[in-house]
Order: sequence, then structure tokens, then C-alpha cells
Amino acid sequence: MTGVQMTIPFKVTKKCSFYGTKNNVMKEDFSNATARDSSHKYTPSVKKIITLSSSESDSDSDVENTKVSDNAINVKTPQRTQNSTESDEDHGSTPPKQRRIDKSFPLTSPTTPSTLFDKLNLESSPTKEEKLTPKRLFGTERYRNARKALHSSIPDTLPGRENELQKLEEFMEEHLKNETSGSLYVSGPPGTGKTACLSKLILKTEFKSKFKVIYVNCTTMKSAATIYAKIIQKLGLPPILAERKSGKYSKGVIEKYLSSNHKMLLLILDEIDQLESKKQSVLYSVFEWPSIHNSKLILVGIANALDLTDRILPRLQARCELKPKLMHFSPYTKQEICNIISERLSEANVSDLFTKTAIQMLSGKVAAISGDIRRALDISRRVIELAESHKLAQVLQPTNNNEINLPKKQQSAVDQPVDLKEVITVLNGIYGGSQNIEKEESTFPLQQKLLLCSLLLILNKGRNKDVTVGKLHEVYKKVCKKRNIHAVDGSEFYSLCSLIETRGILKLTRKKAARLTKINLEWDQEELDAALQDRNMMAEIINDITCL
Amino acid sequence: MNKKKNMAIDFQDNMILLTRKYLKRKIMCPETKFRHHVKERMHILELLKRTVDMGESNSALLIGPRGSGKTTLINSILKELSYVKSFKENALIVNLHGLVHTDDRLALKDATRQMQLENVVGDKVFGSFAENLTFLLDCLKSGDKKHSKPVVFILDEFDLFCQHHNQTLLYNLFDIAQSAQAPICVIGMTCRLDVIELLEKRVKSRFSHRQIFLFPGDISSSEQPTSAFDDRLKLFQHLLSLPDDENVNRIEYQYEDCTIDPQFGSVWNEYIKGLVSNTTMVNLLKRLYQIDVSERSFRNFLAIAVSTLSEKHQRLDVNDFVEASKMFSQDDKVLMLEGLSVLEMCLIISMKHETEIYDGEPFNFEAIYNRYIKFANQNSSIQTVQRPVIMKAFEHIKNLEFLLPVSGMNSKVEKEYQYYKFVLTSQQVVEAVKNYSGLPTEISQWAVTNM
Repeated sequence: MTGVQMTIPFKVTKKCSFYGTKNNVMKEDFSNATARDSSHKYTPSVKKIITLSSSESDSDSDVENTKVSDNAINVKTPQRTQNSTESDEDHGSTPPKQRRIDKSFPLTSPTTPSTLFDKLNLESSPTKEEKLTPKRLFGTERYRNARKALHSSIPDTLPGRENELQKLEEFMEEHLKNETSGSLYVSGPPGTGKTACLSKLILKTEFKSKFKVIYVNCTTMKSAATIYAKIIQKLGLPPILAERKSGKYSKGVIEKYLSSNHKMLLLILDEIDQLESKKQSVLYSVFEWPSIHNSKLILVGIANALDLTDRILPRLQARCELKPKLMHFSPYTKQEICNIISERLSEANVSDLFTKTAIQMLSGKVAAISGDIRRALDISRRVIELAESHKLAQVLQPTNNNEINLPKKQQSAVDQPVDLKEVITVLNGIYGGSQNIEKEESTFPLQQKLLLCSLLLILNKGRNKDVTVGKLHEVYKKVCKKRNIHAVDGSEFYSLCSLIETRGILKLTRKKAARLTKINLEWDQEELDAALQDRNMMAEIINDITCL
Repeated sequence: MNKKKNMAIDFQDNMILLTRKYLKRKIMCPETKFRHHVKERMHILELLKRTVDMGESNSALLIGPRGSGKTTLINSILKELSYVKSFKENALIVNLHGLVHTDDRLALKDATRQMQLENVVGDKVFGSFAENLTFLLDCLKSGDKKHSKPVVFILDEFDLFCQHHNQTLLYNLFDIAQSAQAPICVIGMTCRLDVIELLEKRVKSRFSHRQIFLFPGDISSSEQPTSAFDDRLKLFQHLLSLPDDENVNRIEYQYEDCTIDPQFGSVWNEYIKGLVSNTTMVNLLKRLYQIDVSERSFRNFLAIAVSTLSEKHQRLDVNDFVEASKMFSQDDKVLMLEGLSVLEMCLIISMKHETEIYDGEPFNFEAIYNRYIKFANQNSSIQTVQRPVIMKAFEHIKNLEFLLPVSGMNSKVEKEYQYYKFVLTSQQVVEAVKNYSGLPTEISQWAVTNM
């Protein structure tokens, strides 16, 4: 390293911000890079209580924490796990930088930005700029508490998901006891608590100690193959050198680790359908890991599509030991949404802000369309906001509620529900499924049933057999009008179609304009017919030619 | 008369130039003073305030047609908030634009730069896309409601962000807004009303479905209820008036180089008031308003009218506005036709007849050529020219895009037999023939007769 001053002539293009100029970071003096100025950029330590946030992995206790700098930071970001293995091989092919800072030569290599960047990976955990504690406002305390309670952050208890939690727990315990590997695929529409359940589970103490948990959200991946590097990083293995950074090599490294002697490993891949690649090689290899001898790996994949493993991974069916166990999270029912909202409100001691009927009405609407709890919470939060802005009395009168809720709900796009009954029937028809219609029937939302009935009506009785979204919507509106049901509007209808598509009942061939999208029935028409004909109203609709 | 004399004395040449400068600035740079949509403005203001003061995370979409003042609304809110000390010190604002940040990599780099994270040195961002993404997310996730600065993301042209690969950026932003991490507020601006359909279902579930619609000409929330057109008249008067008060200059606009004599200003304003009550003027404005309600086109129209001011032309007459409005209402296709040669004009007329007789069926060069030759042979006054020359004229018409090829441009058919569609209406042709100076009488008669 030369002692030449390295100035970095960056062109500074100042963005015009509303506050005049930004903090001029250019003027910052990097001569003392270890003890940095903490005025506005970096705070060396944040004592942070571990919040239940789905994305925080735990530090691995089997990796020795070698000389970590003395500030005991408890920020459990993924970055930390890498920090704890401080090895000088991190720099790929470059020789390790000198750590000795000589005050008399303030302009040696440690002052260059690249060292700063290296340090970023080694010593400093990313913390955001601090601010003053949030302001306390007067008066609106109760409203604010209610809003806070209804925010979609993950609560301590998950009402309405006890069965799923128990099933997951049993699955894990069984594998833990026998030290065997297994794979599980969790599916369900967005907003049904899949990630929340799993993140709650891995925070349980008995699992925390016995497992090494890796949680990866695949939406942050640039391409499917980068998942390997991410897993290596989380395992705390030494990073791959730059010249060997191919997917194949990193895959080999992981498999080597799996066959070696190690702790029980729990790998959770969220939004796993983002890993689709050419010939699905990535997904196949990921699902094949549990079959490696002595791998002691439990793999959990999470996605929306119910039939993902059958649709894009057909070869998994060939070998019994590779077949992942399936688990489905159905959309929340009206009663469940009711319970969740009331429970949250009562925890914050503001349960009198909502009348019973208001909650009933709200959850009924959401449950009829998608059963998405995020949506229910969002709508309820907005009702509170509205009530606050109207400066209403503390307790909303039911009459006011209707005035508040109804326009709100019509504004917010209401979602599509899927009728589990038809879905399950069809699933059984196609996949020889493991699920019973009778059990799941009640969890298929009403509007989605209506949509399917309208589709069947066209297919059975109509003259023109190729159905577009626009045409189906017209028929559906007539059906709804006849039965005095509130029909959802076009864009919401389109998203209903795509939700049903995730169940594998429909196939949409996308066009540029949503209205022209063609709908094909994937399932056996008679099966679906039979499933829907059980219910009086549905049977009526299917045979009602006047709506065409 | 008396007044006119007065004006003449007061009008100094220099004053007129200053006036023009002042008015153009006022018209072309909309001040961040927002005029209507009080309710919508309050809604967003509340959202931002709550994000900053209480650490709530929110997401909203601002939807309205082009020129309805979405950006102006956001700018005026930010300007107002920038005077609030707590907001100014605590909030980080990240502006992203769908036309500039055409993929997630660029958007991320710029967001990292604007947030001044630790891998930023000067204005350069280190690391690859994946590193930047994980770093940004870790920064946002390691924050909590108590200690971290709230970040306000403003995404202009939001519908273009929906076309990114897997909607990675949107998913992650909305995901952070949904979970108990650093408080962020995501505001998207778009002119597509069906923008929700573009979102993937997992992104859609995380978005809070706050849609705020702005429609121009909707003045239901203004102070005194008036009709929408009266509001337009008020705007007209407001945009053309000069400061007639000593202090206005200093309070409203800091145009040091544009000091206008208040006395002159008041005389000018009186005159403009007279304009607003002029019936011709009102009718003209009404006609423009019926064509386009958006404020932007109206401002463009005013800018053209104001540009005519000069030392020789010291007053805005109704005539100037009429002239300016013609630019907005004239048919450019007809103007193009008037610049053609006589031969090309004849071919255009042949095409018109051809499409009329065969009811919009596509034609080729041969058909047009035969029709033209037939006409030229009947009239001794029309010189016959050779076939290649006519072909050249035909090609010229094709290059002006009065003709569109029915099949693609790269078809293998000989050019004489290639089929074309005529894109002008017969009305346009007739009008052009009427306006064409020096067209032989036979030709103009041929244009209006139906064969």
C-alpha cells in the first residue's frame, strides 16, 4: 500500500430536496474510520429488545463468536450472523487490509471508501439514523391505541390458527425426536397468517435452542440461483471466493455441509414460487436436500398457490421420500376475523370504539371476498381514522357505523373469496387430494362461489364457449342483481379470478387489457358442477338461463 | 378614450417587458399553493404527520388523470411540512420516478443514496444489487418505532414500477410498511385508474388500499360554492393580474428582478377585469373549457397569448386570445394537405373516391393510378405525366403517413400492388381542396362530385 493520498473525485449531483441541501457527507472526514462521528450517521450500539418480527433470524449458537467488537449489540439482523464470523478470507482474492491505523499517517489505505465498505460487512451492523422519541399527543390517545392495536404487526397470539400451529409443532417435534429430515409445503392466499405462524413457532424456546433456523424471503433474490449464496451466508460458512461464485459450486458447498455432522437445521423459504427457473432446477435441488443421508434438515416452503408442488415439480411425486407434506391455510372466516379484531381491541382496552355489529359487518364483507386479514385490519384502521377525524363521540352508534363503514368498504377494493367447497371437490377430482370437501366447504368465500357458478352457467348453457373476464363479469353482475347481493366491480373481479386461479380451478391467459383475459376451466366441469349443485342457491344459478 | 390616453402615458416599454416576464413566470411555474381538493390534501397531510410523529407505517395511492395536480399536491404538502421543525429534522424523503428508475437496481441505488446509508460515500453507492437490497432492508428492519427516522417514499409514475421484475421493490416496501419495523410511508402517484389490477396478489394484499382520487374541475371542497367554469374565470383573472400592492412582491414571490410599479399594476388589473366581462372572451374560454378541463393546457394557452406582448404591442386584446386558441383547435392534417403539389392533391382525391366507392376497402397503387389517368384523359387541361413520376408522388404521400399499409412494412409484395388504407376523412380532403390556393377548377369540381 502506498502512502499516496487517495482522493475520490466523485461528481456530486445534488438532488433538489425541499430542505435545501442535504447533509454534506462529502465533507466527512474518514481519517478515523473506526471511531466514527455519531452525530448523524452511525450509532455504535443500540440496545434493542427483540421484537417479534418475522424477518429476524437468530444468531447461531453453534458458531463461535470470535473476537466481536466489545459493543454488545443485540440487533439480530441477518447481517449479524455474518459479522460473527470474522475471518480475513472475506475479501476474496485481495490481501487482508491492514487494521493498524497510524495517527501520523492519516491518509493510508484504511481511509478509502472501500475499507469503509468492507467494515460494513465485518464490524458494523446496519442501524438506521436515530431520532428523538416519538411525540406524545394529547386527546387522541384512545384512537391511537386502537390504531396501533389494529396495525398488521404480528401479535403474541394468533386466534383462529390454533390447529395449524399445533400441526406444525407436531411435525417439527416428530422430526426433532427422531433426528430425521422432512419437507413441508405451506400454501394459502395472501393474508392468512402463514408467515406469522411460522415466525411465532421458531421463536419458541424449545425450538430455538435445538434448531439452527434460517429464514429467507425469496422476493429479495435477484435470480433463483442467488439463493445458494444467501443460504451459505446465513449458515455462517466462509463466503465463496469471487472466481468460483457459480450456482453449481455454492450448491456443492451446501450439500457438503448437509452431509457433514451438524446441528438440526430448519430452513424456511418464504414466497418460494419466486425461485422458478429454467427446468425448475433450483426448486428441485432444494426439495432434494432433505433426502441427503444424515442431512437433518427440515425444509418449509411458503407460497400462495395450492398446487405448486404438483404443477411445477411433478418429478417429486416419483420418489416417496421427496414428496413434501402439504398444508393449506384457508382464508379466514367471518367468525375468525371477528375474533381477531375484537381480541386486538380488547387488548388495547378500546373495545368500546367498535360496536359488535360494526365488526360483524366488516368481517362479513372481507370474509365473503378474500378472507385476507390484512385487508380487514386496514379497513378497520381506516374506520377508526375516519371516526377520529369526524371527532365523533367515544362510542360509535350503530347508525353512524353504517354510515362510516359502508362508503369505506365500497371505496376499498373488496377482495374475492374462494369457495373452498368447490375448490376441494375439484382438488379431489384432479389430485386425488387429501382434503375433504365437507371439512373445507365453509371456508370458500361466497363471491368466488358466485363467480364459478356464473362461469359454469356460461359453459353449460351459453352459446359462445370462450369466456373473457369482461363477459363473465357481465353475467356475474346479473346473477348478483337478481339475488340482491352486492356485486364487486371490474378490477376487484379480476383479482378474484386470479385468486381462484391459485387454487388451480381456472387458468387465465393474460392479455394486455384485463377485460380481455381469457378464462379456461382447468378442472373437470362435471366434478365442479356436482360440487356446486349441492347447495340450493348455487344450483339455481347454474341453471338460470335468464342471466345470460 | 380618456383612459386610453392615460394608459399610453403609463406604459413604458421597459414596464411591458417586465410584465411579460412576470406573467410568464406566474403561468408556467405553478406555485406550490394548492387550490382545491382540500379533503384529499388533508388526508395525505394527516398520513405523513402520523408517520413522522407517531411512527405509524402507511401506504397510499394518489390517482388522477394527467394534469390534475398530483405532483403539485404532494409538493405543496411537503413545502408546508418543511416549516414544521419536527418533520424537517426527523423525516427522510426519498423521491423515485418510474421513468428515471426503470428497474429495481437503479431505484435501489438512488434510494440508498438519498437515505445516506453507510455504503454511500459521497454520491457513489458501493456493492451489487443483491447486497444493496439486503443492506437497505436490514437497515429498515433493524429500526423500530421508537428510535429510527421515518422514511417517506414518493413513487412518481407508480404504474411503471409495477412492470419491474417480480415487483420486488414494491413487495419489499409494502412488506416493511405492514410489519413493525422502521416507520415508512409509501405514496404512489399514477394516472392509471386500474393500477390496482397491475399489482400481484401478494403485493396487493400488503398494500393498504388507500386510494385517493383527484379529478380536475372538481371544486366541491372549495370555500365558496361556484360552478366549475366560474372557477376557471377566476383563475384566468388571477393568472393575468399583476401585483398592485407594494408588499405583494415581497410576500408572495421573491422576484427581485421583476419589480413592477404598483400604479401600473392596478391600471393593468382594471383592464384585465374588463376582459373577463367581455362576452367574446367568455365564450372562447367556455369553448376551451369544454374541450379540456385540465389546468395545464389552459396555462399553455395563456402563455402563448402573453408571449405576444412586446413594446409595439402593449395590450392583450381579445383578438390575441382568439389567435392563440386557433393553435389548439386547428386540424394539422388539413394544413399538411395544403402543402402538397397539384399532382399529389389529385392522387389524394382519387384515394378519397376509391374509399368512398368501395366503402373503406384497402387499395393499391394500380387502382389509384387508373382512376387518376381516367380523369386526366377526360380533361385536356390536366397534363399527363409519366408513371414513375406519379409513383414518386404516391410514395411521398405514403411517407407523410396519409396511407397506412394493411400488412406489415416488410411484406414481400411489389410496391405497386401493396395494399393501403386511407387515413383521412373525405371531409378533411374537401376542406383542404377549398383552402388550396391556385387549384385548377376541374380538380376542385372533381373533388366534390361523386363518380
